[in-house]
Amino acid sequence: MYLADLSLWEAARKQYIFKLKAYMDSYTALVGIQLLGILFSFGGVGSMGMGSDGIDLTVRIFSSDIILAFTIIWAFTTAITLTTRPYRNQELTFVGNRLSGSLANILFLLTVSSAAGILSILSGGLLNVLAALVYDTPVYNLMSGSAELFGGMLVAVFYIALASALGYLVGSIVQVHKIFIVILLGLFLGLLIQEPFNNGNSYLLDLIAFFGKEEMLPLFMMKVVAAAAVLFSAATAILNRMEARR
Amino acid sequence: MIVLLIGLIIAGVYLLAKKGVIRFKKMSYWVLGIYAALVLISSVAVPLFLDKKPLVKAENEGLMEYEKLYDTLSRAGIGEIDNQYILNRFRFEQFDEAVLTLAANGPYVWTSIFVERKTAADGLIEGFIVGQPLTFNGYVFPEAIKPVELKLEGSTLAIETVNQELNISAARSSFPVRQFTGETNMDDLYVTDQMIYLKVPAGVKVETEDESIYFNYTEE
Repeated sequence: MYLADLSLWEAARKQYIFKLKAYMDSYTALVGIQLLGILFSFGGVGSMGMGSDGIDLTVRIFSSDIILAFTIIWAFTTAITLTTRPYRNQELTFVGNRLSGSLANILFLLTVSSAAGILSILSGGLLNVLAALVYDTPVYNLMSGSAELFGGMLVAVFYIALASALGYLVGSIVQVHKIFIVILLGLFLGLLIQEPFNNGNSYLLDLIAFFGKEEMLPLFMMKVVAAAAVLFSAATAILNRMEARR
Repeated sequence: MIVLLIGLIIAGVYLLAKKGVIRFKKMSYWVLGIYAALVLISSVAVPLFLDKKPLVKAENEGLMEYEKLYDTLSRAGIGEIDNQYILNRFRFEQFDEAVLTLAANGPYVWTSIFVERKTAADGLIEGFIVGQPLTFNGYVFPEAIKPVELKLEGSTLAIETVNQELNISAARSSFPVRQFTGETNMDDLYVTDQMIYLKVPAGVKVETEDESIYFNYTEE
């Protein structure tokens, strides 16, 4: 069968279904990383103590923040893995081109990001149940209602998808030349430590605040969709050009 | 219970797989399936495990409130204090001594003591423990801190204090929820010192030999 016989979307769809089945190991890694997040959260994500006259007070707070952070790192690294040569070579067994391969990768990343986002918010429930069973003190409920929980899942999915888009671009750039590992790492470390040398301004914190401090959900979603579209497009363009060159 | 639940899920899935009802090609399916089932069940069951008492939102919080309480007590007296700030009340009737001696009993706890001299010699000593209950992230935990106790033995009023070790655990929404619900990302814990307000009958002199006790008469 030739590519001409198959539309781009049909080729992407077939590769996407293949990837969903073939990359099952990434799901195992997701479970592992979330369990690790639960373990790290078990002592409380925001423990605070206070001692005054006659009162020695310790407050332990449980939430799925660390689990989400770990899941974001998982999404970032999973996306990088997809751009590596062994994974790209698997696509050669399919009728299609690099564009259909990239589309399949993006669809795969969006799918697993959705599952990861939902699981990361729900895993907070498992953490709270375990905390209530293990600790002697009652665990007070400061959580919002179920409507907010579903909203939280949606937002978590968007954050994880954004991380995967960034990982996909980073992976693509690194595939061009290994020197970019050093350059990107240097850039990241530079952004981390630039604050004292830049009159207290940090581009990294500004970037995080651009998404993290947005309080209007539709605007937040638009920002993430736009950013992810740019990152995925850039990554796809890089991978296409690279394959044409080689 | 949670271990039993996990065991039941694993056993159930294993039996179904053995009978061929469900088939797993890879270990990954098992891991993901069990984990997803576990988090789903936990999410549904979590209200059963958390404390069921409804929490009350704090109306006022912050250090200014303590200062306001102190100021109100010293200037206007206990009558101007809202009931929510009165942590405990005591009444000692038929006091016919000329001197009331204050004594500390227990570990040192800083407490401001206000003494109001009544105009009537009614033999009644009233004691009020005033302060803010513990507030955390805007919620009140009224029973978390044990208020100071007062005990009258003869002409001695003992101020009984205890060392308290408190552990509070709370489950809160994750960041993606808090971002759009306006819930704080900074945890805010507030607990104030307790104050004692005494109303003594006319003609009763208040004194103390305890160096750790300081008291003031309210403005008359």
